[in-house]
Amino acid sequence: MRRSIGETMISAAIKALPAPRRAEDGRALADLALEAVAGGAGVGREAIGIVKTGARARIGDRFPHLSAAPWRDATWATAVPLTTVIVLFLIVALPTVGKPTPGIHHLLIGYWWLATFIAALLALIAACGRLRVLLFGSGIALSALVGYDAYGPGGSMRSGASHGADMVMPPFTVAWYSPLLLVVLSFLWLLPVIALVRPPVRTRESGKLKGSSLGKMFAAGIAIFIVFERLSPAFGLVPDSPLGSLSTSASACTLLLLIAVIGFAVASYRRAESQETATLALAISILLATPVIAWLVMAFWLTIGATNSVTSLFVALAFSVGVPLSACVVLIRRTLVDDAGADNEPTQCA
Amino acid sequence: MYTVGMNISEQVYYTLLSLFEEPRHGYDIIGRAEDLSGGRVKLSAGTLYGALDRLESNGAVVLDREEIVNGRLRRFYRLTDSGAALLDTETERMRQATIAFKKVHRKATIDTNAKAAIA
Repeated sequence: MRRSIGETMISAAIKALPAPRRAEDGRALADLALEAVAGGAGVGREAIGIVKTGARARIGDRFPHLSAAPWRDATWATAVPLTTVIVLFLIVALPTVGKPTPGIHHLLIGYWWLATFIAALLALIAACGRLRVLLFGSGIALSALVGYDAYGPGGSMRSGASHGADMVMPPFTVAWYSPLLLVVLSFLWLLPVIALVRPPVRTRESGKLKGSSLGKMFAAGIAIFIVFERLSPAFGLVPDSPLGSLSTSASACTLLLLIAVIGFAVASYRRAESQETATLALAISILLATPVIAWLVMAFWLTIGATNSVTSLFVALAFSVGVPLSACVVLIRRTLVDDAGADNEPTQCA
Repeated sequence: MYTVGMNISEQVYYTLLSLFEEPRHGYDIIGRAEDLSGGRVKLSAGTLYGALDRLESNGAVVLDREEIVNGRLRRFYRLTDSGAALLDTETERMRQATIAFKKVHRKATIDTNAKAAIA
């Protein structure tokens, strides 16, 4: 007897369940879904529901602690292994970067590695100790350090770490080492960012920033980015820029300072007593975050092999507008949505 | 995991509520939950399966019996005492929240009216 499309879809969806559960509950679940379809439910909706449940069951069986934990705890649980991996990679890279070689450039490489290693250690401590602000700061500093070094002149840590990674990883993975590290780092500092913007933002009217003000700030942020991109080797892609003679470490310090100011502004926003202070802090955060995000995206873009600066600039601008804009939409939406019960999210064993 | 004193989702709440009346099979739970929630909670088979699985492992519901109807396997679930206690606690929590809301709402309305009268 030929099966209908609905039956075929449900049977296929049931395969998402882990084998032992499928053997035990597969028939009952398939029959229930088919009964629901016969009763008017959409077959696509039922099939997707089963696939989601199957995926949850698979994850839940494999990582019971993670899947049973509330979402926020689960993100913290992922931060610890992420930071551990970063620290381990840096240790693997140590024999290469620690090699005594003539010239001040290589001496700087050593300092650069040390700074990265300290930032990674701080991130690990923060992840273990659940120190959100420290994890945010060290995570973003790590992203900046690795992002800069991944494409910066000399590719100091990139080459060092890649050589280190070469010892333990297959050759084809080495080329992807830096971009992967950058992606991991981005996730690392996104976790506390999400945690940071939770309760205080929702109880505040988002600093009462209008859409037009936000637009102006993004435009100003992009202008800052373009100026830096043209003038400073820390941001720029133009080797013969007027400030090209500046040392790269000085430029990197500028970038880190910028990031530190953003961190300070975000912290001020969280603690602000008055609406005016909150507005100012939020404005500074958005204004400065835009060029930094653009820079990070560009660094990543170049790291994965793009050499066309026009394309890079386009992608960076698209992201630098899109990411803060999305963040603001989330902020404003969360502010406007009734807070009642928002902190009492239903605890689900996903 | 679901224990007394912990918030539960609306879907789980209506699943428990539909079982409070009598043991039901999956499709019956889906229909009853939709009725009780005024059409707001529309459980899919997969969602219900996941919820019942967790509730069963927590001891809030148990498998009552299995029946074959029109060639389809139906599993009937029954609410346990612990499941009833969980439902009770959650209902009380929502009742408290409603009282708090009414209190705040009434005060806000009085304040607004007073300001309007002064103006």
